[in-house]
Amino acid sequence: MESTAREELLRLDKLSVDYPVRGGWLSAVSELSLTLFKGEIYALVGESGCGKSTVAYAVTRLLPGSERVDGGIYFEGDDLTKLSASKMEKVRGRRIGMIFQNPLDSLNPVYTAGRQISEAIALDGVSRLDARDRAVRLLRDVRMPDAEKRSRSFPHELSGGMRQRVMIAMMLSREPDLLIADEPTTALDVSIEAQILSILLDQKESRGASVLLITHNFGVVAETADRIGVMYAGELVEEGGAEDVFDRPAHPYTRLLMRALPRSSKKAGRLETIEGAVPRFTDRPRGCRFRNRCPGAMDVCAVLAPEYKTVNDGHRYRCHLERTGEA
Amino acid sequence: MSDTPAGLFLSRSLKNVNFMIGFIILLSIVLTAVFAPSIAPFNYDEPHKADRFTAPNSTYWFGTDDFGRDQFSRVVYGARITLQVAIVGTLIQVLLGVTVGLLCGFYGGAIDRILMYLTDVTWCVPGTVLALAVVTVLGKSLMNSIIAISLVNWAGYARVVRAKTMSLKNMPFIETAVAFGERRPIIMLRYILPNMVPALIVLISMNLPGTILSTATLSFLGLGSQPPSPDWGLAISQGMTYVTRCVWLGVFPGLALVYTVVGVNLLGEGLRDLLDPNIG
Repeated sequence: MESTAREELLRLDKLSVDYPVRGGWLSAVSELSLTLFKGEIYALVGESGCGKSTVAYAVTRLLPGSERVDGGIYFEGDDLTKLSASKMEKVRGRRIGMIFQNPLDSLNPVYTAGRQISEAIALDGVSRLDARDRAVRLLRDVRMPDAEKRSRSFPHELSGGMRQRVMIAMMLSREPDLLIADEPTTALDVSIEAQILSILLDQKESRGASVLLITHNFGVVAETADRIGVMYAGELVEEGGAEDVFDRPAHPYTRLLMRALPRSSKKAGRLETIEGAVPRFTDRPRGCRFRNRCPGAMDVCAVLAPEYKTVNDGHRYRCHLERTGEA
Repeated sequence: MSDTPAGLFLSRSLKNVNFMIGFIILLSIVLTAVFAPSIAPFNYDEPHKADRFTAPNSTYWFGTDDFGRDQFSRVVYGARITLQVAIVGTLIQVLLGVTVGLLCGFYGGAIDRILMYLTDVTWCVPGTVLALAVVTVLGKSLMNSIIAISLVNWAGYARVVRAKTMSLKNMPFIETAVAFGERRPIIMLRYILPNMVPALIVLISMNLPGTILSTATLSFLGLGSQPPSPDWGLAISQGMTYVTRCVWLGVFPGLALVYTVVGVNLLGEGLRDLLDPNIG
């Protein structure tokens, strides 16, 4: 593991996000602390509705505006929660790039692909002509077939995978130190998915960019991530190096997630599922948030929220249960 | 050709009867206005003392008036005034309405409340009455009547643009623009505005007949163009004086006005089908 003096890039310090709902606040993210180092891919994994996207939107400050945010988001020394709107505009794109889940509606329908990318490049004062050339080069970098011709296509003339490439090219164009990819491959098929992930890997290897990869798909994580954080109901329940979490999952939720993976079922047969759905909490509940779905729930789980337990350097989980070998 | 957006639009417009008829009518008016000096046999204010109140004949196709001026030439030159009304009026309305609508829809909050209050007040005062008041203050002239009508009609643009802005501003591609660091005024002008151009074109073509008719009304009432202008509205009011003896004096400018308004209406109807299935 690359544990020697890693430089910190992004640190979330007890980040909580609550959305207003009738009669109180819905706790979407609760006291989440995590650190992202330079040049690593950190995967945030969890089911739908567990708050992973909210984390991404909180970091880029793209939340709707009615929410309540507590805690700190430190990015290269700045607390992003305290930056002015105009300073935040300079952080977005230039220092933090964001790739969205839905490439279908995420491009401006009235501009060609090349124009959208050069628009992004021109934000750094590059002349339009140079920007056009670079846009085509970027499209080649993201392996757009027939880049020159496609740069003159409008979004509706491109396929989903091509649109996601344009989106990624836009975000790469300003070479941000941190790329946040919010389920970048969810709307795409498997072969395109692999290519998109390898583009992200490229970014890490060629220029040391960090990636915060948000996904519900453990399969995506396996191939790309250096470290994994598992989220459940707004909390980080387990975190560690990719191999540690994969080979020795400690939290019962992580284990259940692994078993629900199609390829991990050793015996042929039906896929395993986790019963129920992620509960939603208004106000912050006592006790463990996973207890109603946990196969090993105990009395203590209802009254006391578990503390983090450390398995080894960097691998920690949050449960009352002691680790009981492989699940 | 037909696989590009422009080519597709062209082949669809050729099949739209409303659009084609409206387009041809409008084109004929524009050409008449541009080539008025070559089309009109006489100058519009050239009197023929010997031929006063002549009924339409082979020399004076639409007859002559009390000064012996050729009515056909006057109707032809009148097209220029109508075109001027259409262009200048629309320009003022769009400029005002789009600015207000964009600001309201995009920023919301206090800006929205104040500007929308203004818009609603303008909206609920009867148009002609407000225009009369404005003309009374500014003075009687064609330009002032155009300004007056525009100060009444911009509110319609503001409301539609505001609604459109509010829906566009929540589109994912706006989020993308914010995420790659575009500034808010740029987002408004380069992302939201271009996306409502089709709706705007439809809106303009639907508002145009109203603008032309209202301005003609003011001229008819003597508050717009002043003699010897060949303005159609003014010509109708002058023709009214002699309506029992020389019916052609009012009929031909009136027909010209109807022709124009029908043309623009058809064009608007066609454009709406072609560009924006969601409006109206």
